[in-house]
Amino acid sequence: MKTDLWKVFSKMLILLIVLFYLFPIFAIALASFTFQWNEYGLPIKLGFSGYKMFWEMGEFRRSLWTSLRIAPLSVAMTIIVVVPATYAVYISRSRLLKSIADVIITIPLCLPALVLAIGLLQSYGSKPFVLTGTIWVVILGHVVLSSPFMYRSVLANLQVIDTKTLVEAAKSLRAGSLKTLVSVVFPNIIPGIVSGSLLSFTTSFGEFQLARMVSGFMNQTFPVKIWEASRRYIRVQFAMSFIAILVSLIFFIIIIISLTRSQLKEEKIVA
Amino acid sequence: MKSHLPRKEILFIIPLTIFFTIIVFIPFIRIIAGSLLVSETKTLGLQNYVKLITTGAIVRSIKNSFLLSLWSTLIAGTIGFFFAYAISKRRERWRNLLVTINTLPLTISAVVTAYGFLVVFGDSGLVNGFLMYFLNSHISRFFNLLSIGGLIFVYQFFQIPLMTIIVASATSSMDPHIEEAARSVGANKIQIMFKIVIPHLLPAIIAGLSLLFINAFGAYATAFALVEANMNLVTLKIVSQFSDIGYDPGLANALSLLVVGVATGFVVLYRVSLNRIERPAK
Repeated sequence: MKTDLWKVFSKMLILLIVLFYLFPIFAIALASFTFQWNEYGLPIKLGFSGYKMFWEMGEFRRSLWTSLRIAPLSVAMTIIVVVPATYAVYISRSRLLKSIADVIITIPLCLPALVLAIGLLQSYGSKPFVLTGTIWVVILGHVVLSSPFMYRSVLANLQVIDTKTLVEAAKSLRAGSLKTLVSVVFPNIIPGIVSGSLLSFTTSFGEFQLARMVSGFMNQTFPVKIWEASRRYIRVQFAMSFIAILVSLIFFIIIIISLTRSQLKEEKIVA
Repeated sequence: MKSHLPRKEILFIIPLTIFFTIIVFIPFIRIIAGSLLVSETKTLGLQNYVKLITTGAIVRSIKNSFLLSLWSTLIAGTIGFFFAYAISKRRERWRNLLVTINTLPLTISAVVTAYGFLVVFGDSGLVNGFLMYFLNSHISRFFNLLSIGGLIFVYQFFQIPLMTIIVASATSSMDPHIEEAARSVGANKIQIMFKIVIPHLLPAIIAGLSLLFINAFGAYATAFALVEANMNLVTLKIVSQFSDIGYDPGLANALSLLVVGVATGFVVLYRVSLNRIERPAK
Protein backbone atom coordinates (compact mmCIF):
# COMPACT_ATOMS: atom_id res chain seq x y z
CA MET A 1 0.00 0.00 0.00
CA LYS A 2 2.88 2.37 0.78
CA THR A 3 4.09 2.42 -2.81
CA ASP A 4 0.60 3.35 -3.98
CA LEU A 5 0.60 6.29 -1.61
CA TRP A 6 3.92 7.45 -3.07
CA LYS A 7 2.54 7.15 -6.61
CA VAL A 8 -0.46 9.31 -5.76
CA PHE A 9 1.76 11.80 -3.99
CA SER A 10 4.22 12.07 -6.88
CA LYS A 11 1.46 12.52 -9.45
CA MET A 12 -0.20 15.22 -7.35
CA LEU A 13 3.14 16.95 -6.85
CA ILE A 14 3.88 16.99 -10.57
CA LEU A 15 0.41 18.32 -11.36
CA LEU A 16 0.56 21.03 -8.69
CA ILE A 17 4.00 22.24 -9.73
CA VAL A 18 3.10 22.39 -13.41
CA LEU A 19 0.01 24.43 -12.49
CA PHE A 20 2.18 26.63 -10.29
CA TYR A 21 4.53 27.25 -13.23
CA LEU A 22 1.69 28.14 -15.56
CA PHE A 23 -0.68 30.26 -13.48
CA PRO A 24 1.19 33.59 -13.68
CA ILE A 25 1.00 33.37 -17.48
CA PHE A 26 -2.78 32.95 -17.42
CA ALA A 27 -3.18 35.55 -14.70
CA ILE A 28 -1.27 38.15 -16.70
CA ALA A 29 -3.16 37.24 -19.88
CA LEU A 30 -6.50 37.70 -18.10
CA ALA A 31 -5.44 40.96 -16.47
CA SER A 32 -4.12 42.35 -19.74
CA PHE A 33 -7.45 41.78 -21.52
CA THR A 34 -9.56 43.13 -18.65
CA PHE A 35 -11.15 46.51 -19.17
CA GLN A 36 -13.06 46.81 -15.93
CA TRP A 37 -12.87 45.26 -12.47
CA ASN A 38 -15.74 45.07 -9.99
CA GLU A 39 -15.65 46.15 -6.37
CA TYR A 40 -14.22 42.80 -5.29
CA GLY A 41 -11.37 43.04 -7.77
CA LEU A 42 -12.84 40.50 -10.20
CA PRO A 43 -12.77 41.19 -13.94
CA ILE A 44 -16.21 41.99 -15.34
CA LYS A 45 -15.53 43.55 -18.73
CA LEU A 46 -12.90 42.57 -21.27
CA GLY A 47 -11.14 44.81 -23.78
CA PHE A 48 -7.93 45.76 -25.48
CA SER A 49 -7.47 49.22 -23.97
CA GLY A 50 -4.16 48.30 -22.32
CA TYR A 51 -2.63 47.29 -25.63
CA LYS A 52 -4.08 50.35 -27.34
CA MET A 53 -2.62 52.66 -24.71
CA PHE A 54 0.72 50.89 -24.91
CA TRP A 55 0.84 51.40 -28.65
CA GLU A 56 -0.22 55.04 -28.45
CA MET A 57 2.22 56.05 -25.73
CA GLY A 58 5.61 56.51 -27.37
CA GLU A 59 7.66 56.10 -24.19
CA PHE A 60 6.40 52.56 -23.62
CA ARG A 61 6.50 51.49 -27.24
CA ARG A 62 10.04 52.81 -27.58
CA SER A 63 11.22 50.71 -24.62
CA LEU A 64 10.23 47.55 -26.49
CA TRP A 65 12.45 48.58 -29.41
CA THR A 66 15.24 49.48 -26.97
CA SER A 67 15.14 45.97 -25.49
CA LEU A 68 14.84 44.35 -28.90
CA ARG A 69 17.98 46.27 -29.90
CA ILE A 70 19.93 45.56 -26.71
CA ALA A 71 19.26 41.79 -26.63
CA PRO A 72 20.70 40.86 -30.08
CA LEU A 73 23.68 43.16 -29.60
CA SER A 74 24.52 41.57 -26.28
CA VAL A 75 24.11 38.11 -27.82
CA ALA A 76 26.53 39.05 -30.62
CA MET A 77 29.05 40.42 -28.16
CA THR A 78 28.72 37.37 -25.91
CA ILE A 79 29.55 35.14 -28.88
CA ILE A 80 32.62 37.20 -29.80
CA VAL A 81 33.96 37.30 -26.26
CA VAL A 82 33.08 33.84 -24.98
CA VAL A 83 33.29 31.38 -27.91
CA PRO A 84 37.04 31.79 -28.68
CA ALA A 85 37.87 31.58 -24.97
CA THR A 86 35.80 28.43 -24.50
CA TYR A 87 37.58 26.84 -27.44
CA ALA A 88 40.96 27.85 -26.01
CA VAL A 89 40.08 26.31 -22.66
CA TYR A 90 38.86 23.10 -24.26
CA ILE A 91 41.79 22.61 -26.61
CA SER A 92 44.60 23.77 -24.34
CA ARG A 93 46.46 21.37 -22.09
CA SER A 94 47.43 24.10 -19.65
CA ARG A 95 45.78 23.53 -16.30
CA LEU A 96 46.51 27.12 -15.31
CA LEU A 97 44.55 28.44 -18.28
CA LYS A 98 41.66 26.15 -17.49
CA SER A 99 41.48 27.32 -13.89
CA ILE A 100 41.74 31.00 -14.86
CA ALA A 101 38.86 30.62 -17.31
CA ASP A 102 36.94 28.64 -14.72
CA VAL A 103 37.30 31.46 -12.19
CA ILE A 104 36.33 34.11 -14.76
CA ILE A 105 33.23 32.24 -15.80
CA THR A 106 32.17 31.66 -12.19
CA ILE A 107 32.40 35.36 -11.33
CA PRO A 108 28.88 36.27 -12.53
CA LEU A 109 27.56 33.88 -9.87
CA CYS A 110 29.43 35.65 -7.07
CA LEU A 111 28.58 39.10 -8.37
CA PRO A 112 24.81 39.64 -8.47
CA ALA A 113 23.50 41.94 -11.22
CA LEU A 114 22.85 44.66 -8.66
CA VAL A 115 26.48 44.71 -7.46
CA LEU A 116 27.74 44.72 -11.04
CA ALA A 117 25.39 47.62 -11.74
CA ILE A 118 26.57 49.82 -8.90
CA GLY A 119 30.19 49.03 -9.81
CA LEU A 120 29.55 50.14 -13.40
CA LEU A 121 27.58 53.14 -12.19
CA GLN A 122 30.49 54.38 -10.11
CA SER A 123 33.27 53.46 -12.54
CA TYR A 124 31.75 54.69 -15.78
CA GLY A 125 29.23 57.24 -14.57
CA SER A 126 31.50 60.28 -14.75
CA LYS A 127 34.19 61.61 -17.08
CA PRO A 128 36.40 60.57 -18.79
CA PHE A 129 34.58 57.29 -19.53
CA VAL A 130 30.85 57.89 -19.51
CA LEU A 131 28.91 54.74 -20.32
CA THR A 132 25.92 54.93 -18.00
CA GLY A 133 22.72 56.16 -19.61
CA THR A 134 23.69 54.64 -22.98
CA ILE A 135 22.44 51.30 -24.22
CA TRP A 136 26.07 50.12 -24.24
CA VAL A 137 26.40 49.88 -20.49
CA VAL A 138 23.31 47.66 -20.40
CA ILE A 139 24.68 45.53 -23.25
CA LEU A 140 28.07 45.10 -21.57
CA GLY A 141 26.42 44.16 -18.29
CA HIS A 142 24.18 41.65 -20.00
CA VAL A 143 27.19 40.06 -21.69
CA VAL A 144 28.64 39.37 -18.23
CA LEU A 145 25.36 37.90 -16.99
CA SER A 146 24.88 35.63 -20.00
CA SER A 147 28.51 34.56 -20.49
CA PRO A 148 28.17 31.44 -18.27
CA PHE A 149 25.27 30.16 -20.43
CA MET A 150 27.26 30.60 -23.62
CA TYR A 151 30.35 29.05 -22.05
CA ARG A 152 28.51 25.95 -20.87
CA SER A 153 26.55 25.28 -24.03
CA VAL A 154 29.59 25.78 -26.27
CA LEU A 155 31.73 23.60 -23.98
CA ALA A 156 29.04 20.88 -24.00
CA ASN A 157 29.02 21.03 -27.80
CA LEU A 158 32.82 20.84 -28.03
CA GLN A 159 32.70 17.71 -25.87
CA VAL A 160 30.01 16.07 -28.00
CA ILE A 161 31.82 16.47 -31.32
CA ASP A 162 35.32 15.10 -31.77
CA THR A 163 36.98 18.51 -31.68
CA LYS A 164 40.53 17.32 -31.07
CA THR A 165 40.57 15.16 -34.20
CA LEU A 166 39.06 17.99 -36.25
CA VAL A 167 41.71 20.42 -35.07
CA GLU A 168 44.55 17.96 -35.65
CA ALA A 169 43.28 17.38 -39.18
CA ALA A 170 43.08 21.11 -39.84
CA LYS A 171 46.56 21.64 -38.41
CA SER A 172 48.06 18.82 -40.46
CA LEU A 173 46.74 20.67 -43.52
CA ARG A 174 48.65 23.72 -42.25
CA ALA A 175 45.63 25.79 -41.29
CA GLY A 176 46.48 28.64 -38.90
CA SER A 177 44.93 28.87 -35.44
CA LEU A 178 42.41 31.54 -36.39
CA LYS A 179 41.47 29.80 -39.60
CA THR A 180 40.98 26.53 -37.71
CA LEU A 181 38.64 28.23 -35.27
CA VAL A 182 36.62 30.17 -37.84
CA SER A 183 36.30 27.66 -40.65
CA VAL A 184 36.66 24.26 -38.95
CA VAL A 185 35.54 24.46 -35.31
CA PHE A 186 32.92 27.23 -35.58
CA PRO A 187 30.65 25.48 -38.14
CA ASN A 188 30.66 22.36 -35.98
CA ILE A 189 29.52 24.08 -32.79
CA ILE A 190 26.63 26.06 -34.27
CA PRO A 191 24.04 24.13 -32.17
CA GLY A 192 25.87 25.04 -28.96
CA ILE A 193 26.20 28.67 -30.02
CA VAL A 194 22.53 28.81 -31.00
CA SER A 195 21.28 27.47 -27.67
CA GLY A 196 23.70 29.71 -25.77
CA SER A 197 22.47 32.67 -27.83
CA LEU A 198 18.82 31.93 -27.15
CA LEU A 199 19.46 31.73 -23.41
CA SER A 200 21.47 34.96 -23.60
CA PHE A 201 18.64 36.64 -25.47
CA THR A 202 15.99 35.77 -22.87
CA THR A 203 18.39 36.75 -20.08
CA SER A 204 18.96 40.14 -21.66
CA PHE A 205 15.35 40.76 -22.65
CA GLY A 206 13.90 40.09 -19.20
CA GLU A 207 16.72 41.54 -17.12
CA PHE A 208 15.58 44.22 -14.66
CA GLN A 209 18.07 44.49 -11.81
CA LEU A 210 21.04 45.85 -13.77
CA ALA A 211 19.06 47.78 -16.38
CA ARG A 212 17.03 49.64 -13.76
CA MET A 213 20.24 50.98 -12.13
CA VAL A 214 22.31 51.94 -15.17
CA SER A 215 20.06 52.44 -18.19
CA GLY A 216 19.30 56.10 -17.51
CA PHE A 217 16.18 57.97 -18.49
CA MET A 218 16.46 57.88 -22.27
CA ASN A 219 17.22 54.20 -22.77
CA GLN A 220 14.99 52.41 -20.30
CA THR A 221 14.52 48.78 -21.20
CA PHE A 222 11.21 47.00 -21.51
CA PRO A 223 11.16 45.42 -18.00
CA VAL A 224 12.15 48.74 -16.43
CA LYS A 225 9.32 50.44 -18.30
CA ILE A 226 6.86 47.73 -17.17
CA TRP A 227 7.79 48.63 -13.62
CA GLU A 228 7.25 52.33 -14.40
CA ALA A 229 3.87 51.60 -15.94
CA SER A 230 2.85 49.75 -12.78
CA ARG A 231 2.93 53.04 -10.90
CA ARG A 232 0.89 55.07 -13.38
CA TYR A 233 -0.97 52.98 -15.96
CA ILE A 234 -2.03 49.61 -14.61
CA ARG A 235 -3.63 48.51 -17.89
CA VAL A 236 -0.45 49.30 -19.81
CA GLN A 237 1.54 47.42 -17.15
CA PHE A 238 -0.40 44.20 -17.74
CA ALA A 239 -0.43 44.59 -21.53
CA MET A 240 3.35 45.03 -21.49
CA SER A 241 3.77 42.12 -19.07
CA PHE A 242 1.89 39.84 -21.41
CA ILE A 243 3.93 41.02 -24.39
CA ALA A 244 7.07 40.18 -22.38
CA ILE A 245 5.65 36.71 -21.64
CA LEU A 246 4.88 36.16 -25.32
CA VAL A 247 8.45 37.07 -26.29
CA SER A 248 9.77 34.68 -23.59
CA LEU A 249 7.43 31.93 -24.77
CA ILE A 250 8.51 32.29 -28.38
CA PHE A 251 12.14 31.98 -27.34
CA PHE A 252 11.36 29.15 -24.96
CA ILE A 253 9.80 27.17 -27.80
CA ILE A 254 12.72 27.91 -30.12
CA ILE A 255 15.17 26.78 -27.39
CA ILE A 256 13.26 23.52 -26.96
CA ILE A 257 13.17 22.84 -30.69
CA SER A 258 16.86 23.61 -31.14
CA LEU A 259 17.83 21.43 -28.16
CA THR A 260 15.80 18.44 -29.29
CA ARG A 261 17.32 18.68 -32.75
CA SER A 262 20.89 18.83 -31.46
CA GLN A 263 22.35 16.26 -29.09
CA LEU A 264 22.87 18.78 -26.31
CA LYS A 265 21.15 18.36 -22.99
CA GLU A 266 19.55 21.44 -21.48
CA GLU A 267 20.41 20.49 -17.91
CA LYS A 268 24.09 20.62 -18.85
CA ILE A 269 23.70 24.16 -20.11
CA VAL A 270 21.54 25.70 -17.46
CA ALA A 271 23.00 24.15 -14.32
CA MET B 1 52.89 10.41 -33.82
CA LYS B 2 53.59 14.01 -33.02
CA SER B 3 50.46 15.79 -31.90
CA HIS B 4 49.30 18.74 -33.93
CA LEU B 5 47.41 20.14 -30.96
CA PRO B 6 48.11 23.85 -30.91
CA ARG B 7 49.76 26.26 -28.53
CA LYS B 8 48.78 29.61 -29.99
CA GLU B 9 45.14 28.96 -29.09
CA ILE B 10 45.92 30.30 -25.66
CA LEU B 11 45.61 33.77 -27.21
CA PHE B 12 41.90 33.25 -27.82
CA ILE B 13 41.28 33.85 -24.15
CA ILE B 14 42.45 37.46 -24.47
CA PRO B 15 39.11 39.06 -25.52
CA LEU B 16 37.36 37.49 -22.51
CA THR B 17 40.12 38.61 -20.16
CA ILE B 18 40.12 42.20 -21.43
CA PHE B 19 36.34 42.33 -21.34
CA PHE B 20 36.10 41.07 -17.77
CA THR B 21 38.88 43.41 -16.66
CA ILE B 22 37.01 46.46 -17.91
CA ILE B 23 33.45 45.43 -17.08
CA VAL B 24 33.94 43.38 -13.92
CA PHE B 25 37.33 43.80 -12.23
CA ILE B 26 37.67 47.58 -12.46
CA PRO B 27 34.10 48.19 -11.18
CA PHE B 28 34.72 45.63 -8.43
CA ILE B 29 37.91 47.38 -7.33
CA ARG B 30 35.99 50.65 -7.48
CA ILE B 31 33.43 49.12 -5.07
CA ILE B 32 36.18 48.02 -2.67
CA ALA B 33 37.75 51.49 -2.81
CA GLY B 34 34.34 53.13 -2.41
CA SER B 35 33.55 51.02 0.63
CA LEU B 36 36.62 52.47 2.36
CA LEU B 37 35.63 56.04 1.52
CA VAL B 38 33.38 57.61 4.13
CA SER B 39 30.65 59.66 2.42
CA GLU B 40 30.19 62.27 5.16
CA THR B 41 33.80 63.22 5.76
CA LYS B 42 35.35 62.24 2.41
CA THR B 43 38.15 60.44 4.22
CA LEU B 44 39.35 56.86 4.25
CA GLY B 45 38.18 54.62 7.04
CA LEU B 46 36.22 51.60 8.08
CA GLN B 47 33.14 53.56 9.18
CA ASN B 48 31.00 52.04 6.39
CA TYR B 49 31.70 48.58 7.76
CA VAL B 50 31.02 49.76 11.29
CA LYS B 51 27.61 50.94 10.06
CA LEU B 52 26.83 47.41 8.93
CA ILE B 53 26.89 46.14 12.50
CA THR B 54 25.77 49.23 14.42
CA THR B 55 22.91 50.75 12.39
CA GLY B 56 19.70 49.05 13.50
CA ALA B 57 17.96 49.20 10.11
CA ILE B 58 21.00 47.74 8.33
CA VAL B 59 21.40 44.92 10.83
CA ARG B 60 17.71 44.09 10.43
CA SER B 61 18.01 44.15 6.64
CA ILE B 62 20.89 41.65 6.79
CA LYS B 63 18.87 39.44 9.13
CA ASN B 64 15.78 39.66 6.89
CA SER B 65 17.77 38.81 3.77
CA PHE B 66 19.27 35.80 5.51
CA LEU B 67 15.87 34.58 6.69
CA LEU B 68 14.27 35.15 3.27
CA SER B 69 17.10 33.32 1.49
CA LEU B 70 17.25 30.51 4.02
CA TRP B 71 13.54 29.74 4.04
CA SER B 72 12.98 30.17 0.31
CA THR B 73 15.99 27.87 -0.21
CA LEU B 74 14.88 25.17 2.23
CA ILE B 75 11.28 25.11 0.99
CA ALA B 76 12.18 25.20 -2.71
CA GLY B 77 14.99 22.74 -2.06
CA THR B 78 12.61 20.20 -0.54
CA ILE B 79 9.91 20.65 -3.18
CA GLY B 80 12.45 20.68 -6.03
CA PHE B 81 14.11 17.52 -4.71
CA PHE B 82 10.85 15.56 -4.58
CA PHE B 83 9.78 16.99 -7.94
CA ALA B 84 13.06 15.94 -9.59
CA TYR B 85 12.81 12.49 -7.99
CA ALA B 86 9.18 12.12 -9.09
CA ILE B 87 10.15 13.17 -12.63
CA SER B 88 12.94 10.58 -12.71
CA LYS B 89 10.39 7.81 -12.08
CA ARG B 90 8.22 8.76 -15.08
CA ARG B 91 8.49 7.16 -18.50
CA GLU B 92 11.01 8.78 -20.80
CA ARG B 93 8.53 10.81 -22.86
CA TRP B 94 6.94 12.32 -19.76
CA ARG B 95 10.34 12.86 -18.20
CA ASN B 96 11.57 14.88 -21.18
CA LEU B 97 8.38 16.92 -21.29
CA LEU B 98 8.52 17.71 -17.56
CA VAL B 99 12.22 18.61 -17.65
CA THR B 100 11.36 20.98 -20.49
CA ILE B 101 8.40 22.60 -18.73
CA ASN B 102 10.61 22.98 -15.69
CA THR B 103 12.83 25.51 -17.49
CA LEU B 104 9.88 27.71 -18.50
CA PRO B 105 9.78 29.85 -15.30
CA LEU B 106 13.46 30.73 -15.74
CA THR B 107 12.76 32.46 -19.06
CA ILE B 108 10.13 34.80 -17.63
CA SER B 109 11.24 38.20 -16.31
CA ALA B 110 11.16 38.50 -12.51
CA VAL B 111 9.10 41.71 -12.62
CA VAL B 112 6.47 40.07 -14.80
CA THR B 113 6.33 37.06 -12.45
CA ALA B 114 5.79 39.39 -9.51
CA TYR B 115 2.81 41.00 -11.26
CA GLY B 116 1.38 37.58 -12.09
CA PHE B 117 1.42 36.71 -8.39
CA LEU B 118 -0.07 40.10 -7.56
CA VAL B 119 -3.00 39.49 -9.91
CA VAL B 120 -3.83 36.22 -8.16
CA PHE B 121 -2.66 36.55 -4.57
CA GLY B 122 -2.44 40.32 -4.05
CA ASP B 123 -4.70 42.30 -1.73
CA SER B 124 -7.04 43.13 -4.62
CA GLY B 125 -6.20 39.93 -6.46
CA LEU B 126 -8.41 37.13 -7.70
CA VAL B 127 -8.20 34.83 -4.65
CA ASN B 128 -9.12 37.64 -2.30
CA GLY B 129 -11.76 38.84 -4.76
CA PHE B 130 -13.49 35.45 -4.91
CA LEU B 131 -13.30 35.06 -1.13
CA MET B 132 -14.85 38.47 -0.59
CA TYR B 133 -17.44 37.80 -3.26
CA PHE B 134 -18.58 34.50 -1.79
CA LEU B 135 -18.34 35.61 1.82
CA ASN B 136 -19.89 38.91 0.78
CA SER B 137 -17.50 40.95 2.86
CA HIS B 138 -14.92 43.64 2.23
CA ILE B 139 -12.45 42.87 4.95
CA SER B 140 -11.13 39.48 3.93
CA ARG B 141 -7.40 39.25 3.59
CA PHE B 142 -6.48 35.74 2.69
CA PHE B 143 -2.76 36.25 2.36
CA ASN B 144 -0.36 39.17 2.57
CA LEU B 145 1.87 38.94 -0.47
CA LEU B 146 3.78 42.08 0.47
CA SER B 147 5.66 40.54 3.39
CA ILE B 148 8.72 38.36 3.88
CA GLY B 149 6.41 35.32 3.86
CA GLY B 150 4.84 36.53 0.62
CA LEU B 151 8.27 36.99 -0.94
CA ILE B 152 9.31 33.48 0.11
CA PHE B 153 6.19 32.26 -1.71
CA VAL B 154 6.90 34.24 -4.92
CA TYR B 155 10.58 33.19 -4.89
CA GLN B 156 9.47 29.55 -5.18
CA PHE B 157 8.60 30.33 -8.79
CA PHE B 158 12.23 30.53 -9.86
CA GLN B 159 13.82 28.59 -6.98
CA ILE B 160 11.96 25.29 -7.51
CA PRO B 161 12.93 24.95 -11.21
CA LEU B 162 16.58 25.71 -10.42
CA MET B 163 16.73 23.02 -7.71
CA THR B 164 14.91 20.59 -9.99
CA ILE B 165 17.38 21.10 -12.86
CA ILE B 166 20.37 20.33 -10.66
CA VAL B 167 18.88 17.32 -8.88
CA ALA B 168 17.33 15.96 -12.10
CA SER B 169 20.72 16.00 -13.83
CA ALA B 170 22.06 13.79 -11.01
CA THR B 171 19.13 11.33 -10.84
CA SER B 172 20.02 10.08 -14.33
CA SER B 173 23.14 8.43 -12.88
CA MET B 174 21.13 6.52 -10.29
CA ASP B 175 20.88 2.79 -10.87
CA PRO B 176 17.22 1.73 -10.44
CA HIS B 177 18.38 -1.82 -9.62
CA ILE B 178 19.77 -0.72 -6.27
CA GLU B 179 16.36 0.55 -5.21
CA GLU B 180 14.75 -2.67 -6.42
CA ALA B 181 17.28 -4.76 -4.52
CA ALA B 182 16.60 -2.78 -1.35
CA ARG B 183 12.86 -3.27 -1.82
CA SER B 184 13.27 -7.01 -2.32
CA VAL B 185 15.03 -7.37 1.03
CA GLY B 186 12.12 -5.57 2.68
CA ALA B 187 13.20 -1.93 2.87
CA ASN B 188 10.27 0.48 2.81
CA LYS B 189 10.00 3.68 0.80
CA ILE B 190 11.25 5.90 3.63
CA GLN B 191 14.28 3.69 4.30
CA ILE B 192 15.10 3.65 0.59
CA MET B 193 14.81 7.43 0.50
CA PHE B 194 17.12 8.05 3.46
CA LYS B 195 19.58 5.16 3.01
CA ILE B 196 19.96 5.14 -0.79
CA VAL B 197 18.43 8.06 -2.70
CA ILE B 198 19.42 10.99 -0.51
CA PRO B 199 23.04 9.81 0.09
CA HIS B 200 23.46 9.27 -3.65
CA LEU B 201 22.04 12.69 -4.54
CA LEU B 202 23.68 14.53 -1.65
CA PRO B 203 26.29 16.44 -3.73
CA ALA B 204 23.54 17.59 -6.11
CA ILE B 205 21.31 18.59 -3.20
CA ILE B 206 24.08 20.65 -1.58
CA ALA B 207 25.02 22.23 -4.93
CA GLY B 208 21.37 23.08 -5.56
CA LEU B 209 20.79 24.56 -2.10
CA SER B 210 23.93 26.71 -2.40
CA LEU B 211 22.86 28.05 -5.76
CA LEU B 212 19.37 28.79 -4.46
CA PHE B 213 20.74 30.70 -1.50
CA ILE B 214 22.98 32.88 -3.70
CA ASN B 215 20.08 33.43 -6.06
CA ALA B 216 17.77 34.64 -3.31
CA PHE B 217 20.35 36.67 -1.41
CA GLY B 218 21.45 38.83 -4.35
CA ALA B 219 18.05 39.39 -5.98
CA TYR B 220 15.88 42.45 -5.65
CA ALA B 221 13.66 42.62 -8.75
CA THR B 222 10.69 40.74 -7.27
CA ALA B 223 10.73 42.63 -3.98
CA PHE B 224 11.21 45.93 -5.78
CA ALA B 225 8.31 45.23 -8.14
CA LEU B 226 6.01 44.37 -5.25
CA VAL B 227 6.92 46.84 -2.52
CA GLU B 228 9.51 49.14 -4.10
CA ALA B 229 12.01 49.95 -1.35
CA ASN B 230 9.51 49.52 1.49
CA MET B 231 10.97 46.29 2.74
CA ASN B 232 14.08 45.86 4.76
CA LEU B 233 16.36 43.73 2.59
CA VAL B 234 20.09 44.13 1.94
CA THR B 235 19.64 44.50 -1.80
CA LEU B 236 16.86 47.06 -1.44
CA LYS B 237 19.07 48.96 1.03
CA ILE B 238 21.80 49.04 -1.64
CA VAL B 239 19.32 50.37 -4.19
CA SER B 240 18.02 53.07 -1.86
CA GLN B 241 21.55 54.31 -1.09
CA PHE B 242 21.60 55.43 -4.72
CA SER B 243 18.34 57.36 -4.57
CA ASP B 244 18.25 61.12 -4.09
CA ILE B 245 17.04 60.95 -0.49
CA GLY B 246 19.40 58.48 1.12
CA TYR B 247 22.48 58.99 -1.04
CA ASP B 248 25.30 57.07 0.61
CA PRO B 249 27.38 55.10 -1.92
CA GLY B 250 29.99 54.21 0.70
CA LEU B 251 27.45 52.22 2.68
CA ALA B 252 26.08 50.66 -0.53
CA ASN B 253 29.59 49.51 -1.45
CA ALA B 254 30.15 47.94 1.96
CA LEU B 255 26.78 46.18 1.74
CA SER B 256 27.62 44.99 -1.77
CA LEU B 257 30.85 43.46 -0.55
CA LEU B 258 28.88 41.66 2.13
CA VAL B 259 26.59 40.23 -0.57
CA VAL B 260 29.60 39.25 -2.70
CA GLY B 261 31.26 37.62 0.32
CA VAL B 262 28.20 35.54 1.15
CA ALA B 263 27.72 34.61 -2.51
CA THR B 264 31.37 33.62 -2.95
CA GLY B 265 31.20 31.34 0.08
CA PHE B 266 28.24 29.50 -1.36
CA VAL B 267 29.74 29.47 -4.87
CA VAL B 268 32.75 27.61 -3.49
CA LEU B 269 30.42 25.11 -1.82
CA TYR B 270 28.44 24.87 -5.07
CA ARG B 271 31.51 24.18 -7.19
CA VAL B 272 32.96 21.64 -4.78
CA SER B 273 29.70 19.68 -4.62
CA LEU B 274 29.07 20.00 -8.35
CA ASN B 275 32.37 18.23 -9.02
CA ARG B 276 31.24 15.32 -6.85
CA ILE B 277 28.01 14.67 -8.71
CA GLU B 278 28.31 11.30 -10.40
CA ARG B 279 27.75 11.69 -14.11
CA PRO B 280 26.26 8.83 -16.10
CA ALA B 281 28.85 7.00 -18.16
CA LYS B 282 28.72 7.95 -21.82
